[in-house]
Amino acid sequence: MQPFSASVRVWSWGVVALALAATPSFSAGPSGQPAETAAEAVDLSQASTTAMEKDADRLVQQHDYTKAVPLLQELANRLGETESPQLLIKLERILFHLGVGLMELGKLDEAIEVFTKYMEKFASANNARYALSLQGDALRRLEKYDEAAACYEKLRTEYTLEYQFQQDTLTKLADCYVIPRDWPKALPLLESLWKELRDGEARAKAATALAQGYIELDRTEEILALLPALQSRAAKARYELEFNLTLIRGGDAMFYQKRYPLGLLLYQLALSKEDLLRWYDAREQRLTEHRKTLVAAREDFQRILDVDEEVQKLKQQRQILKETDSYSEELRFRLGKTFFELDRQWESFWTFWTLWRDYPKSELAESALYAAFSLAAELELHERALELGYAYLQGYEKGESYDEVTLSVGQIHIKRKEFDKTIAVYEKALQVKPDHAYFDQLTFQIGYCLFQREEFDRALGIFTEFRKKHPESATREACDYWTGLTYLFKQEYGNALAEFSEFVQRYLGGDYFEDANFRIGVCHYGLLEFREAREQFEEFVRRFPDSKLRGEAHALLGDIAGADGRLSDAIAQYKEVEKHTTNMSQINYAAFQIGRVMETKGDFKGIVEYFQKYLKEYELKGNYTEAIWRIGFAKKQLGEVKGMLDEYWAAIQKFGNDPAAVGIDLIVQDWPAQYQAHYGKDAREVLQGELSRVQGGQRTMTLRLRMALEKLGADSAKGLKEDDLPHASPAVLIWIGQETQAEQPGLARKAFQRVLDAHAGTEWTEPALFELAEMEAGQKQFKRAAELFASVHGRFPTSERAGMAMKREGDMLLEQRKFKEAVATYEKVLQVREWRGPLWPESLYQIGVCRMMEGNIREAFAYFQRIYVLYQNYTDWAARAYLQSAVCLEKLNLRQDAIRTYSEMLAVKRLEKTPEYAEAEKRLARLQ
Amino acid sequence: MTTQIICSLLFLFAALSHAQVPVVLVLKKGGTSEAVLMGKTDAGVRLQPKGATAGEYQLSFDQITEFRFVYPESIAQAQEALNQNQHDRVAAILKPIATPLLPYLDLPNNNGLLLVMTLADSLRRTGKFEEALNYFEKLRALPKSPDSIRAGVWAAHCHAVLGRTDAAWKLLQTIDPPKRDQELFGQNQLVRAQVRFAQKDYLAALDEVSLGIACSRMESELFPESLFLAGQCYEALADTNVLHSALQSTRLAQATVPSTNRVQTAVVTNVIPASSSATNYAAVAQSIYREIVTGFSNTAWAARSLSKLSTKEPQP
Repeated sequence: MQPFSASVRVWSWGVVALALAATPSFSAGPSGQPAETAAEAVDLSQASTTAMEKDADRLVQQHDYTKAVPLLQELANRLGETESPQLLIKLERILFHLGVGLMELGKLDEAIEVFTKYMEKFASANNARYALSLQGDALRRLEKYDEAAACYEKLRTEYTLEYQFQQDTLTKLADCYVIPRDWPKALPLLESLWKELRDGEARAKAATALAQGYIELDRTEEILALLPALQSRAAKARYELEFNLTLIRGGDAMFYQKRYPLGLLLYQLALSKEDLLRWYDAREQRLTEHRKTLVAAREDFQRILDVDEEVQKLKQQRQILKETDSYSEELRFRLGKTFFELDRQWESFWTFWTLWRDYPKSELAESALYAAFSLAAELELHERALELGYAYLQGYEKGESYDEVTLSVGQIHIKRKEFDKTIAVYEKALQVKPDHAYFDQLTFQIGYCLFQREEFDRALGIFTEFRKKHPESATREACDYWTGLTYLFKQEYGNALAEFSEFVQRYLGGDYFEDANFRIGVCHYGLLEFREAREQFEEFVRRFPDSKLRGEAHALLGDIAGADGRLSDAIAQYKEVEKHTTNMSQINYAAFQIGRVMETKGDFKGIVEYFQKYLKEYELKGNYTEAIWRIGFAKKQLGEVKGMLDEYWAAIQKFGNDPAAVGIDLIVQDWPAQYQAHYGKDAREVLQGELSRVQGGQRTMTLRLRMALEKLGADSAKGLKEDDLPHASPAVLIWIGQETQAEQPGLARKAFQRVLDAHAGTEWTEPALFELAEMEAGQKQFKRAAELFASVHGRFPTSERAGMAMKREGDMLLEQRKFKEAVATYEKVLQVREWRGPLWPESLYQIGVCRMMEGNIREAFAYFQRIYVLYQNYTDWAARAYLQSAVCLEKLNLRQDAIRTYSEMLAVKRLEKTPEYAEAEKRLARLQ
Repeated sequence: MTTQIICSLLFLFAALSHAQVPVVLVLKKGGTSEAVLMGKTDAGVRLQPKGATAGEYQLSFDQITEFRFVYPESIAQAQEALNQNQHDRVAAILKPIATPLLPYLDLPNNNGLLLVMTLADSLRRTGKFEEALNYFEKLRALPKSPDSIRAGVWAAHCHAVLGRTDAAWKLLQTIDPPKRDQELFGQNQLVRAQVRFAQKDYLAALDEVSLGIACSRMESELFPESLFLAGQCYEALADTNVLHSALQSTRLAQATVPSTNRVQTAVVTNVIPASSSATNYAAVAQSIYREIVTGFSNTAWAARSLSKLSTKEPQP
């Protein structure tokens, strides 16, 4: 520890020098002395006392103590035993200056001896208080703090001192107690100084020492009063290493006592090693400049010495600091931890983050990075968390927190639905660390991610293997549940039922128990075991009355009742749904099911009443325009066509400018024909009139009316532009896309895409996907087109376009001459009974084409033959198949068979108008 | 607004009219020359010999290494006032000295920049942001240097304090962001946070100001203000429940299942625990206000924080 007051200037030296000069007997001497001075004399004992006195006086005035001290020593020896009052006066001066000179020359022990002698002889002299002070200073410099303290104590109790002298003495005395950490003696002095001192720097020093004392005596709160001084950048004492280490120790004490605000304060006050080094450098530079100025101005020599002393001290401190291990990282880490304990997570995050960035090679870098990562994850700063997580995984593959980081990184990806990335992270982690602490969770979640990617078989493989290898794992329960769910999604209801049934037997409660009970009902439903399903759902409702799945259970009970023909029960169950959920999609499902059941029952009046109540209850939250459409439909059935038309027209006018009101699209599609049929008038006039009214103001409505007019034969599609798209409803977007596809394919593409982006949940998603797929296929972008077609049949498997989408995938494969894949795709079309119709003969025909192009003519012939035998009603395909089968026979060199087939074809009257018919005639003539 | 325009126009007038300024020129060939600066051209300066009333001459920039403006003796009083934190007095003394220098601040190696910066800073400290802004803008327009960057950040600060957050943000975009180890960094972060806060984006504001706090010393002038803003952010988050909702949604993150099922599945276990969802941000804000009251008692922010402290909260 550096002396507390080491840099306090020995302010009294200037006074001492004057005192010497003012001593007549000392400066007086024989005039006109020979050239050789006493100082230059080789043997001082030969020099005259008078000459020595004169020389000594001159040399002291010149601050040349190197030469003055020997003379003063000789003089002190000569006069040492005098009792003459006049010589004693001289001796007093001599001893005093000798002491000063010895101190100046760094001969502190000798100086102390001289000052001791001085005080024995001249304790009442004018210079005695200075001598005593200097004696204390010398002792202090020799680190004899007890003896120095005795000098200062004596000085302040036995002598009358000027204010400044008094304060300096107290400061030095305090120093003598601070250094050996005698706080009981030091603190009262320091507190007094803190109150009394006016000089900022001295106050700051006192504050610094007090702070150390308070910390060491566990009186940390008392530091708060010192804060302004401690925060002052001017306080040099703040830059002492020991003080800053004390602050950190104090911070630690507070931290462990959970007094975090005080801990934070102390840590924040502490300066890092780099801060201190920067300050030392800057301070030394300033002092060096200052010294130059002092020298140039021929300032008091003592001031220069003070500067030198401070520079020397700075150098020592810097050296010590450089040799000290850096504590800056520890300080930063402590700050981060304290912020964390105070729930100041953002500050904590950034503190750890900066530690990692600024000290990447530090031992604490890994922990800091992990802490920053964890905080980022907790704060939902996913991008940042992932960046830090991957930095950790890259830099610390053998790190202590590798297991936690891998687990969390994967989970963040799960939250972001980046399942493939989770799988990659977990697979790598298990490869890097086969004994991963979270082996079971990682494995299970790989399965979970595969499930999310709809890779059900792979997911099942993982789950099954996991259960086999780790039957006792804590993750087993989750694994059991997801195994059942995977079977459910594979539509393997029997297996799913077995899993869920076992699950509810094995477990008593937990996260999945309620859910599994519900799934059992779903499995029975999937197995068409409606009685069991009903019993299960009814039991579920009884057992888990507050379940969030209760609304869904009632919806399924409604579906079961509907399937059983218990229509009133169905309605009652559907009506329960809205009582147990706030989820509008569930409520809407039940509401429109009620509409359908009522329609089946022929209760059109009930439909009108029910949907009017629905509209009142849910207003714009519900599918209001679709409800209006249902009301109109019911009114029409009740013979209230006018009522329906009025209802529709009012809805068009009220909601027509809202692009999200998708029911209006249905109404606009329905209204013109109904209007014309009822009134016998051209609907175009009414629509045109309305268009004139709203044009220029209501853009969505304008577009809807233009679409309706176009469909009635008016030329309204001109001038469609990109600017219209944000205002267009989904049906209008499809119309825009179709209208502009030829001339403005870019606009068409954007229109279809907007349906997907802005109206994803509507029935227009399907045509948008299909149209986009066709556009891609037209551009030979087969991969993208195939993806889009796959979306159509994947998301809307029972729709009319689904089969067509599958067949179009086959067409593209055929175009790419990938015959095997094409045939497999066409065969998929033939496997779905719901896709029966023209798609089946077309698919058969395409398979025939594939076989023919492969050179497998006989097989091709068989496919063509199947078409005109089984699908005669599909004239176009029958004609094509006849022609191609005959062509096959020609290629097989079976002339008679070919003639017979052409003749058979030409005998079918229905085929006469097909182009293939004429072609067959030509070919037959050529063969005959 | 009108005051602002008039103020700017007067300032512009003062700034554009080249005043006569006594100057000592340090010449390339050696030695110095005292003169009165009459104006400047693209290539050099127009001067008049000291004490003369006529006889203008020109010196090109390549003949001069340094311009030392000669300040009146009142500059010492400004220094004294500065030492005593009497910023009103500093501004009053420096304004007549600094204003004539404005057209010459771009002269190579001149000593006017520090003076104008001190004036602008004093005006800012006394709450005269509009006036301070004029000087900061002038300094900001100088060729890029640490001082021009500093002036830019302060100008943005003034805009932000005056509620012109858009202007502040635009200005920040034009400034090279200070490095983390520079004192200006914390200030830059504070201004960014102030803008975000004004936009009611409390999470972003907290993020910005926290970075500033983590990289600043507690002795820096804006530290208590940064803490106060952090407290406000935590308070706003507690009020609006934004954070809680965000974290709640994490905790309850439900795994949605493939599109073929309309029912959500049960939760995936072991998703990252969001322990912070339980954090009481109102209490965090209170602890920050308390920190300001105890740690920065001699600042205006302590008084403002005191008024924020709930009487129910235990006092330190």
